[in-house]
Amino acid sequence: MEFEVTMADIAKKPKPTAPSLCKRCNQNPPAITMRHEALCQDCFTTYIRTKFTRYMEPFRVKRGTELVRRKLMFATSFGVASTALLDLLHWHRSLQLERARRVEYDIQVVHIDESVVLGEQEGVEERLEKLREQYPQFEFSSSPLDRIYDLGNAAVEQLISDTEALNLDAPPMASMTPDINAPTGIEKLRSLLAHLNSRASQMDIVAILRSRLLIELAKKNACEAIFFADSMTRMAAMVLAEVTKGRGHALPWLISDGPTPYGPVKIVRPLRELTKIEISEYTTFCSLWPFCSISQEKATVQKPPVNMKNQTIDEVMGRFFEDVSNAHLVANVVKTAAKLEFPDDNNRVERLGLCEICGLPMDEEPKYRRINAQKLAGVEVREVQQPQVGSKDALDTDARIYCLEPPEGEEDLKERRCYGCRRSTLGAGKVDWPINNR
Amino acid sequence: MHYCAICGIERAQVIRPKNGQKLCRSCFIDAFEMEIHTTILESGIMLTRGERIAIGASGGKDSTVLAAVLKVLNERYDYGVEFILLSIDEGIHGYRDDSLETVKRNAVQYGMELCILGYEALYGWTMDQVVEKVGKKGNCTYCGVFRRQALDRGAKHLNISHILTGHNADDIAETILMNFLRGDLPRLGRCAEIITASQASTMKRSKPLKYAYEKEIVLYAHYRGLDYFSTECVYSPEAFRGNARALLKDLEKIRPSSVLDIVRSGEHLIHYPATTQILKSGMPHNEMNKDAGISVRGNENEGGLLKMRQVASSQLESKCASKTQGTTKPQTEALHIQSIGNCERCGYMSSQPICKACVLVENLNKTYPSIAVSVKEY
Repeated sequence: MEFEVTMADIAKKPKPTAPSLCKRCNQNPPAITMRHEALCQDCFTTYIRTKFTRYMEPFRVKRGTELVRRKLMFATSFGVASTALLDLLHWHRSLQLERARRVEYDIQVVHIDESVVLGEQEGVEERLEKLREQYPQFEFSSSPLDRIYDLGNAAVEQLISDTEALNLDAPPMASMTPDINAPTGIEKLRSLLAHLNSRASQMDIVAILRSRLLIELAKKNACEAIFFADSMTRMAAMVLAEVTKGRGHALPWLISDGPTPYGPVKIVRPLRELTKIEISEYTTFCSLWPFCSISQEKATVQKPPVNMKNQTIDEVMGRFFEDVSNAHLVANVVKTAAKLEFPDDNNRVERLGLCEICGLPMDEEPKYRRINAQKLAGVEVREVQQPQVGSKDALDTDARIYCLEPPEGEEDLKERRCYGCRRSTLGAGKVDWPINNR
Repeated sequence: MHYCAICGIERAQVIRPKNGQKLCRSCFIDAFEMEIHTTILESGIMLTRGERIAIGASGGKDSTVLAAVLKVLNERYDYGVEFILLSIDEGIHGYRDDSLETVKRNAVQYGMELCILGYEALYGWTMDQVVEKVGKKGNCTYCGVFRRQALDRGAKHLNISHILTGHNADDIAETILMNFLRGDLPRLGRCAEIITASQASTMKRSKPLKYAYEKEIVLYAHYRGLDYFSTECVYSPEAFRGNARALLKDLEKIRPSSVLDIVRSGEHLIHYPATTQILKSGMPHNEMNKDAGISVRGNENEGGLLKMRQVASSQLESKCASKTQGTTKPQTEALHIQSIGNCERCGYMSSQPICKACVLVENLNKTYPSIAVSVKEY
């Protein structure tokens, strides 16, 4: 089978001359070529907004219903995608006001301040101020990462004491008197991170803390959903990064929209069908760059190679998919991951519970999981003696095959912490985790 | 000076890439062999005493180490099995002919029977001829399809129903990444399995080196002074795998356990509604979903819409939604179900009426003159 026309021949051919008019409206000159279509600025903007609006379906105006303003939260990093999504939400809400003369939702924009971890961040307040001016209808706030230590386990006690505080006769609760010697949230967080063995592990734990803090904040503010500005490019990096961290068992939970296993607050990622390039073009067309934390020049220039050793897994994956030669693989990864179905998820949560760190369903030894899942699906399987939970045998496979020795004195860690979290907290000793799964 | 972390007597010579443990030479060899023994025991690879098992031997580092380790373990732990080296001669001059010499020496060194099967004999084409015909690009397809069949045929010829291959942890991690990048869902669900056996054929394939790092395999071969052949195939390297390989190497630098972590993740990516399940149970797909009361989460990923609608609606509505899921989804899924039959021409298992190898051979033969033509000079 001889190939008459090779890819090299196609590449050598003169490129078709750029069409003079936009392919969709046939009126304006094209401004961008996107997915093999030359589009004008207006049509491109419409395209972006359509893709975004698909995910806003649950939040559209329902005529004839009583007006209940729904509360939504939006987590911003001030990055390109965050800026674009904020503008899209603004557009969507204005459209509701214009067409239906009412708005369906209010948005609280929250920025998680990670200066405790990353060092002093410049101009967070200024940036928030700038956004407040531009979008006066949204509420803006920033919350330090260590706030999770106040919100996490203390939240329930706080709630009780709050209600009791109303009753003036009630004696002050013991928990209300602060212990001066107790370490503060910042100190606890710093000590937790200092015990982790690499920057990759630290950033993994920070990312988990960030999303758990956001969920807690949303719960506290009675928001029903949180919006994340994750692009398709970023989702692809996330999929492979989580696989690399050993969290394959919880992959559907990590990337799908909807409620988390540990709380009713829903996660929505309305930019999941748009690539990073498309989003940054949108940012250009809508002149949103002044609101981004990085400048347009910086965002478009290829980043220079960096010291490999100190990178995180997410960074490596992010760079891999931002590389133009790999951009076409993004959709494959995201779509494949989205199609994965784990029939035993519910059963696993019932039997094994949730991981104490990431709050996602626990894993079990792959060999036994396979057998259990097959049994569940009604397939006849050869009965294999499964080790008793916590027995010596159960611990050994991890150590012998995956080189993941349980820490001294915590041999039962396997029942509480998933593989990925055990890997990230390897050698960290006893972890003072700020939040539990309720 | 560091002392070995296990014996504490000898000087440490090896840092294990897996976990950074510093070991002396003999402790490393022991630990490496022990791990493979563990893998074999835990996965039930050698269950039947007296079984004859083929080792797919190419003469490269992986298969040489596999043969060497298995010989040691078979004697030490008395598996009571017999190993036979099975080699495939693709007919690549300057590569395979040399590596086959290595395999022949190995057969003598390890006292194992050797069987060599050639592409020429099986398909009438050597790889050199194929490359001459199709060019340097895309010839790996032919080689891959041919080899898979050739191994099975070779084993059948030897009256063996179990083949061991030298795939290591790096290979499997790469394959998992590649299947994501390619969007190959059915393969993703099974590429990390240690033993693969299909419904239609009785041939079982296992990968005892599944948890062994490539680096450790090289170290083991080096320390035991094994005789192996280390040239890459002279024809085009697999470009796509190279991409995944480079990514894996970057990840390994950051966190050396990454390779194992990916393998572990891959083992968890079981995807049930697909092929094998239905073939095995013989149950219609929709019934299966209903009976097991499975709530399908993967579906919800596909469009945020479906998901959001479900969550927003009441319990009753969501029940309806899942019912429609149960009926609509399987129909689309059913279209993808492959049923395995036999090739009309060669009888080898195939999902199509004619197997891939026969199609490829037919294409090759099409324009090839059946009688050699030459120009005589006067």
